[in-house]
Amino acid sequence: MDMSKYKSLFMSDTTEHLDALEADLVQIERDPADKSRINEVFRHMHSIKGMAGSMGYDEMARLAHRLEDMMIPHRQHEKPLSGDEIDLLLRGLDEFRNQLDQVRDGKVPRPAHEDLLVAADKILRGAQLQAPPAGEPPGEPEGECRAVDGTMPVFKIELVISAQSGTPAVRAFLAYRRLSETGKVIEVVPGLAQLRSGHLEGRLVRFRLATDRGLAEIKRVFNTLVEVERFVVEPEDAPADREQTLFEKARSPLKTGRQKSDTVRVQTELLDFFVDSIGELITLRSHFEQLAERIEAPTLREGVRRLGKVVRRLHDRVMEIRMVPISLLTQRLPRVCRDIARSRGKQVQFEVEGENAELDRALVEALDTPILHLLRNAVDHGIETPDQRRRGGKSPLGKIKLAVKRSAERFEIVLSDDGGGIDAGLVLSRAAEMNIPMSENPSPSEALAMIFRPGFSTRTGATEISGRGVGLDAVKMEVERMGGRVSVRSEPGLGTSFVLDLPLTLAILQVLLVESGGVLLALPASRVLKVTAIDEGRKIASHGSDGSTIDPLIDLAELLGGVPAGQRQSEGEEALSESVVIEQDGQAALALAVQHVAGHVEVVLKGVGSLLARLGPFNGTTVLGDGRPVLLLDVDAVITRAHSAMREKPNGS
Amino acid sequence: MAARVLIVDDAVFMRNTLKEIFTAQGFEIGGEAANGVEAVEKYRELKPEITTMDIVMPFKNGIEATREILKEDPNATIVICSALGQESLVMEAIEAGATDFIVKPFKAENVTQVVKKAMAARR
Repeated sequence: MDMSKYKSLFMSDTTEHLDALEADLVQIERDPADKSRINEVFRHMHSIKGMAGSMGYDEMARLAHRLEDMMIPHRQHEKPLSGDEIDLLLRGLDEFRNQLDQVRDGKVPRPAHEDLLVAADKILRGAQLQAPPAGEPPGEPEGECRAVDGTMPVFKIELVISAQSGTPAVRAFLAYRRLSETGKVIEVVPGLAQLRSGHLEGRLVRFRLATDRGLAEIKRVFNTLVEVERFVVEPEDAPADREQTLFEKARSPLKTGRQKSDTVRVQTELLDFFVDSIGELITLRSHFEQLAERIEAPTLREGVRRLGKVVRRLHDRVMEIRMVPISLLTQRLPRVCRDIARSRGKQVQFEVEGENAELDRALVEALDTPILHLLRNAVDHGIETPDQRRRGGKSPLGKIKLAVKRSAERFEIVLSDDGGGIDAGLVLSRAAEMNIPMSENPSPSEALAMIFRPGFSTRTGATEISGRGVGLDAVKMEVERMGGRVSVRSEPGLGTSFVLDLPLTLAILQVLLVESGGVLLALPASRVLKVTAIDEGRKIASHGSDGSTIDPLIDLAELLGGVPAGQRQSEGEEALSESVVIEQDGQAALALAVQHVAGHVEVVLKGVGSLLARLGPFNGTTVLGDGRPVLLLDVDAVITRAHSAMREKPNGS
Repeated sequence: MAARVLIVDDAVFMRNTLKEIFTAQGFEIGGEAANGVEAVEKYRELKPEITTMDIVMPFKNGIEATREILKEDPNATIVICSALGQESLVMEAIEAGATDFIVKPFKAENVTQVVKKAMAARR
């Protein structure tokens, strides 16, 4: 049978087992005698072994087999797992993940590190030495010789199990059991205990059976068994000629009707295809809508409106299908936390809140790296060593919490620690050392925000944990690419919280289209407070919202590096006719002067490559109904840029 | 009429492997169950001619499920699906009344041979 087409299913099933295994192991570390979890670990190993074996990934199956064997005494005798054993199982888990990566790359998994297998064997041998002798269960119909019912004829049976059988002892045991259904087995050679131990020398087993069913019935037993090389049945004494009491077992009446499964598994690529297609449908609907407006066709407009409703419904349901619990992301975090804490000599308790919240699969995947990075940071830089914590009057056990909160439109992920907090002063002096541009008198929150600047680090030597991979600037970029925002709050001595504010789905966004400098641009509608005539915008700009923040009226085109307003004004006065007031943290932050506002549309957002992101404050692209491409403005980046432009030119435009 | 199979295994992967084997051999897939509890319920509902039963499963293992099914229907034909190294569990299942067993990794010809013989044994 061609197994290659099962590869993706194998990958996803195995990954699920590994993720669950990881969660179980981290729990077992807290409670090494947790019987149900120990059973679960056994079950996962067992499943992985079976699946890997079927795929022909023998090395993976071999490792699973060893680790499964290691669990047996713990299951049977409810023996707690030792720290070494848990470590070994965790190492095995990492090995499985490596092997799975090799499968993903189209290779056959390589053997696990020999020392891993050796260590498993060592533990296994130790366990066997200590294990109580395998006694027979009480009441076992054991005995090479049992009481003979003198009235029944006795048959001597010799059975040879085929050499192809991988389990000759079990085959022999099954034969014993089947024979027992036809009569009384009065002797088994070698004994039942021998069969039960799983060993059968020479593949030969002998029975003595007392039965009144006759020869044919006994032969039928062997004819309905597999892996039988040969068998001989002969009456011990000349059997009395008696009528065979063959009886047919009545079959239960057949029930008609097929059972249908409630759920099916769907390739995620297929879901992505649905989302893309619905995106195109939405774009086309916008196009027809505009067309209906232009040719003033009320019937067409009504039809398009109805079409829009159906498409919207379809979109909502497909998005629902794409929702997965965020636990897919969070379940491996306790392990990550444990490993880092262990290597850094710290004590950390990690907690997740709201992990049942469901989010778009694409978001959950995209969040993986940023969350992992923030967690690493929290353990490495946030939580102090137990000594430092004691000196600070805290419990030596640090706490890190990941909380997921979902509202109708957005969701928020907060990663907080009760560590030492971030020293804003230190951040400022580091930023100055590194020549990172900043304002004259930065507020504490502005100072903290410096940690998201590219290349920023308060450490001189990179630590093993946080020194590799992405910096906080990469976290910020990744989150913004998803249409989200990241911020940080910190209280020195009390701890730090990183807040990720994200949209529920990636794909669809309400935008305001504006024309600026002759170019069409999109602004996320959620960030637009109001659209006003240019003079109104000036008023807002001069008043400010609460006096403390500046919200200037600024020419968007100029801000983006276009032709300065003065020059353009000579080209035509209609250049700046409207202003768009955008918000930050719920307050008016900036009024952007634009040529005109072109309308409010729903667009399907596509990511923006990192190259394009460097060109300017953009974090997405989209294609309009008529095929025109539009760049989506990154509102926060626009505000930052405007503020620094204002500082350079205090009089504004 | 094609014999109906109830496939019991907690791994979708394993169920699909067996489904493919059985379908190719002209069996009808009557239903599937992912654990012992479901297995007992589905058996009651479907009364399949043959049931393949994984041993290690959540909620209720295959041995307990085998025992319960046979208590309700002593004629049930149950083939245990096991892995190498599970000899003692398989023997436990056989004592519980399982008709036969197959060992993973499955080979199509072995599976169908065992299943056909198991059905013949229970006829």
